[in-house]
Amino acid sequence: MPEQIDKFHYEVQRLNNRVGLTLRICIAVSLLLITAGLIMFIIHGGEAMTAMTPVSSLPQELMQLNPASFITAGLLLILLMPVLIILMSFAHFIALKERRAIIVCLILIIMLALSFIFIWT
Amino acid sequence: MLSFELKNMLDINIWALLGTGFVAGLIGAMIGVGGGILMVPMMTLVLGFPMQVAIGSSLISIVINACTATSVYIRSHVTNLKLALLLATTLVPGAFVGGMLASLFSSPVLSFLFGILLLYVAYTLIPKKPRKKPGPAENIEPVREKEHASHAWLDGRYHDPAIDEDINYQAHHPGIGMLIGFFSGIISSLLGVGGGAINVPVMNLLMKVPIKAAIATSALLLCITTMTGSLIFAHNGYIYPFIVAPLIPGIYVGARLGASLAHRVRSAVLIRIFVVFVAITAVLMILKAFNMLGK
Repeated sequence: MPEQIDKFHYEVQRLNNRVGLTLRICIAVSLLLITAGLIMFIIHGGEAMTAMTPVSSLPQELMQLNPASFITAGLLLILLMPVLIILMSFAHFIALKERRAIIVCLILIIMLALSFIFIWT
Repeated sequence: MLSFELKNMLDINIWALLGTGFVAGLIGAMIGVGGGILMVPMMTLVLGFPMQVAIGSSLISIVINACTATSVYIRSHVTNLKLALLLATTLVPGAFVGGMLASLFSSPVLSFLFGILLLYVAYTLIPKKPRKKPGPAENIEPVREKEHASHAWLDGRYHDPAIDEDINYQAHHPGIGMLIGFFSGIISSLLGVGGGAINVPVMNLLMKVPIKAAIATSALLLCITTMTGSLIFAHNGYIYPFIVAPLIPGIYVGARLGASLAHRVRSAVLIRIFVVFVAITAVLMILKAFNMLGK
């Protein structure tokens, strides 16, 4: 029994480490993108966008070094971070066959998916 | 619909926004409150933004702040991931409802509600006389095998380096916690604050989660709740990339500096000053709601 508990806590710690690392990478990249967009805007000036760059044209705008597209990409990454945490937890709990945690994650994923659908329709 | 229109970023001072984020992050981290409590009044009272724009910008800034805190807490294994995910199932719908309500309410109504919230925050921050006996926060109840078997999966365990001990705990009353979480989600999105002022006491006092785990779990909850709120505000057109962009690096740098300065400054003095500041801001927000501040 104690071995089972230790294995369980080892698995939890493994998930924590993975989530922590993913968050740190995402935070660094999003800050880099937003700061780069701001610096480009300050240096080159130009008209500020009042809305975010549409996701469909984001890669193209990024290639053209459009400051607004850099800021939009950074903001999208920020918004995706909590979703990433939930998805990583979901995958982890599936691997561990933790039924209740899987159901909770599934409910959250459905709710967030509905929120995203509501926003983009 | 808002009368506010952002035609050109040149009308808005990037440095003022960067400074706003920095000050909100710095003081927030030093006092231990979310940046929204400071950012929303600064954006509305000083920079003159409409409430909805200030709230939307505040929410998205809190996402990165909360994610940064979570990345630190989760690596020290204090965060109770399962408890956070369970509470998020009601916080997310709450945040959705709050975001929708914010677009229905006028700026003066939101200003008034924010003023009331600030008064509550000021009250909670007033230093209380120390209790003779340890409160429920310090009373970690022993794990009972038969009792609470239905939510034993929410058990938590972490190592507390301050006392060099492993702390084991059970989360009590998850149902009531979820119910209160729904209303916490509404307030968070409606007023652009994290909701930690509600989540932490609920987890600590009601659910008997140790204070360190409650704070860490609340940070993860804030990530999810404020993200949902941000989506609603983005959908309703209240998030402007060039307003949010300077706030984010500002709050990030400010919060990191604030966290490192927190233990060097006398926090009791700082909190007293902050209580007065919050109380004055609350009055100003209420006066603004009744259009008594002028332009």
